[in-house]
Amino acid sequence: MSSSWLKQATAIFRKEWRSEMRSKHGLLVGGLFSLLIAVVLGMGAAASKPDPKLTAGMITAGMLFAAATIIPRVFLIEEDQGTLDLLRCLAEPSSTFVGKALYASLQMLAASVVLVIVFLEMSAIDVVRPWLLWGGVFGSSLALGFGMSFCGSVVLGAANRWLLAGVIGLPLVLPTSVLSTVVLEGGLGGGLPSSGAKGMIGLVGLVLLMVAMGVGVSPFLWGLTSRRDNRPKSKGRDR
Amino acid sequence: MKAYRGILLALGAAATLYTFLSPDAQKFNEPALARIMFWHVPSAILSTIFAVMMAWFGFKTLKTHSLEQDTRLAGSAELAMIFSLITLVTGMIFSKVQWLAYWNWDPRQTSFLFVVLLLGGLIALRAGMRDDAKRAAASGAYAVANIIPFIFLTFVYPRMPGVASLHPNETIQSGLDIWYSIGLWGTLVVLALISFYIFKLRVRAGLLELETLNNGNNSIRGGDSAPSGVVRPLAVSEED
Repeated sequence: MSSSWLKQATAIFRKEWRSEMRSKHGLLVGGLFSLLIAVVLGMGAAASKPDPKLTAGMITAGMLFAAATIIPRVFLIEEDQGTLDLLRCLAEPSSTFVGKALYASLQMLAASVVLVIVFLEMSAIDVVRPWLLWGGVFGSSLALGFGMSFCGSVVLGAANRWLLAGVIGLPLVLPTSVLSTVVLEGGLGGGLPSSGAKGMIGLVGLVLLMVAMGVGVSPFLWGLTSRRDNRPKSKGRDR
Repeated sequence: MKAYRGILLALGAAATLYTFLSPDAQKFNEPALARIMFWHVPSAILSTIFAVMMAWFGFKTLKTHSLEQDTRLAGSAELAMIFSLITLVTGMIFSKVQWLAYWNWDPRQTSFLFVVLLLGGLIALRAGMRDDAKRAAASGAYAVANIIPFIFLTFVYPRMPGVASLHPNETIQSGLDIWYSIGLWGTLVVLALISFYIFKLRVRAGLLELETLNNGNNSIRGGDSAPSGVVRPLAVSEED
């Protein structure tokens, strides 16, 4: 990993951050969506207080749907605006992927924090092991951010790509949701702390796998459709 | 080729006959229906094999940029889907008789449902892409990525601590009598031969289709963007 690769990834992340700060559209929509999910889940849990396992499952389901709605936008918007080719000329596909996926993970983390706080407060559910709960939220957000970003980048050019990103993304991030449920359940006082900690290690492993998958596959994925690759090799005549 | 097809037909008929002629199993609510395992278990094994092949051809597609590999990917994905559906449906029928409900949220049953959803996602992704090169690249990437949840769902999740399955673990290894052992492994061999023959035919048909459509150029990269003989330079004014 060279310093120019890191610079490119940081530049892409900063570009995402700055364009977000200009309109704040993504954060606003993401925040509102997770608030909406929290309220709907809270209504479901209003009649009887759910046990830690069910609460963890409900939070994970909310995070999954929030991820499917919020994250693919990070890639799909480039294609809608016609700026993806420009971005590919400026940076390596893998660094573009990492920069964008990191930004998507940050957005996912913000949405998850809103969802968890509002839902737990509305339903008056106690947090028994905060380090496990927030560690789980952080790990799940990263894994979902990278996993769904990957799906967003895969569906570029497809018909119904916004819907398709969710359809192919939800089964792909299923291991994340299973481990997330185990960790959040531990954070809410259910199960053994050791199983929560094991789930946390699993989540870290999944994040690393998702990063490796995105970094490894994106050069092949975008290289294949790159117009530059179809050009014959220049021998200095067409300067 | 005709002889090979005849042999496969005879083997298929023999496997089906054997299924009916083998004696009823013991310790089942409906002993006659235990025969469903002759098709259920081999289908599950074959769907796993084709899903792994799909990921392999996805990797080869990304590495070689070849539409031929993409055709193999499509063939293996379709067969994995067919066998997953057979596994799911036969499992549900058995579940209704043995465990009194079509759906029990059994970890193996649920994990196979998600395998079907993963494969369905790939088929939907392919259907959504019109451009051959983009479709090959996207489905190759997705097929490679699928291997993570696939391994998790098939091998890790059903064995996780605290996850209890209704599926008995030791039946296949040591709980079968000679009739059922021969039936199970024999059907697996016959189904494998038939399915690989279908895979071969599917790939051949796909390659012929590619040759017809692309004038024999099956590479994603390289070559002209438009095939010669179709687009010609055209004068737009008299000076040209």
